Amino acid sequence: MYNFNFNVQNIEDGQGMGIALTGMIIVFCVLTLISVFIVILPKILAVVAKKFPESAGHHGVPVQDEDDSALAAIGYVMHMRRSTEIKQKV
Amino acid sequence: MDIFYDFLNTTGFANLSWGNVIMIAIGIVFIHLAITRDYEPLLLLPIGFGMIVGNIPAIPSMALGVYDEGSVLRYIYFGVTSGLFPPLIFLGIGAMTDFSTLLSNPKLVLLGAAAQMGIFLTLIGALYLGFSPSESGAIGIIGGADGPTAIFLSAKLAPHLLGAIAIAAYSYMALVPVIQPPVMKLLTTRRERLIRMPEPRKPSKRERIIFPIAGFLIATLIAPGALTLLGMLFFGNLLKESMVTDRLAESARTAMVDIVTILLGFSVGASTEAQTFLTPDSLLIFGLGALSFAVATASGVLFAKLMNVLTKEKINPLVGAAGVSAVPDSARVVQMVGQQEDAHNFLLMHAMAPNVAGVIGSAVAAGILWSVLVQ
Repeated sequence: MYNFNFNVQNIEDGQGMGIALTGMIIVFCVLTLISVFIVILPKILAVVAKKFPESAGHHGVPVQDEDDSALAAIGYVMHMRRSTEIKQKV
Repeated sequence: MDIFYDFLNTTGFANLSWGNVIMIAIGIVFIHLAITRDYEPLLLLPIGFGMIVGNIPAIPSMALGVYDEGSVLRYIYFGVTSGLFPPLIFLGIGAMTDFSTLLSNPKLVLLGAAAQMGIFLTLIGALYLGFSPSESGAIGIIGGADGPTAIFLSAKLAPHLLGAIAIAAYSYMALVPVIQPPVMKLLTTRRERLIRMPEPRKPSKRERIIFPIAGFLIATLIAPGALTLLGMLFFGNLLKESMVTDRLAESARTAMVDIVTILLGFSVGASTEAQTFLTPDSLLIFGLGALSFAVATASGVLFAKLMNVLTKEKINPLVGAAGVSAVPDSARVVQMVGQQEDAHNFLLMHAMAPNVAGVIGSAVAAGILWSVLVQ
């Protein structure tokens, strides 16, 4: 139970500064290392991909780049067609 | 007639205290906020109803409440006190999370680290106010803005404060759209809020599969205390990204996480019996919790500004506020505040990177505090 004892000495007694500094340094270390790993990962994979091309799933089918422009074109054509159909009905 | 009088003495009306009435009213406010304001409804509604349930005075001879040996509610609450529910929620979060934004802009990961300053400054504040080091660690984690992590750590370090810490953490997570914007606006200029960031690249499938394994190894080899939470988080993400365990990923991110959320929210709410909850400790915990959210937000924003001084490619400093791991609410707040200045500035995807990095950062911080402060 809490006992109303506001005192700067409590921070020193509980090694507050030490825990806070160590904690922040470790958190930054972990996330910096993850960040560095993310930076170098595509470079490693580019080298690996030359020997082992990326496959889709476990069936060994080579990955085809998802072409967003093709999807957009299909969407546009469908939209125009539906619009024409609606106009004809009206 | 005696039987009738005996029965009357066991009714809730006969044993209801003012504390119970206040807690029931708070429960109703939670339900109101969940339904009318849409503030974290998945959590506030179960917690709110749990609060009402937990504050109906129990009959002393019957095992009814979460603190009564052998009661059904106690068995449900065991998932909280044992630390079982939070890792299961992390499994579901992992199966929902798309780390692509983080993989496409690795420097934003550091904002997720900076925002953890809230945890450690709150720890210092709690020590100053006279809490023990273990209690201070458990209170500090509220600054991580991550409910499951706060529950997990307080169950390990200060089980007697679990109810207050859990309610504070979830309440402030629900209030992210209220707490964060003033801090963000105070610390940034209009010009900074207008900064547009380049569209993130699309990471390959291999990157997305390798990341959960490598990320787990890096984090837990340095901070093994985070093993349980991060293990489940990255495992859930691997289930999703591998594309060969769709059924498992689907179960983890839907049915399983929903069931655990219901049980966790309800039992945490039911643990807020007025007699154990309405204490000076709880008031101080709520005060520290609000402060920790503000400090975490400020740390993220200020670190983003520092990065702008040191790097060529400018970051919109609002994105730093998403370093607190309230996923995806704080990222949405960044988007909202950014669009108040420029309706065509889309910061959501950029903000998701520090947001998910914040989840990793707060779990690492919890692991560190657990390993340092466990008695």
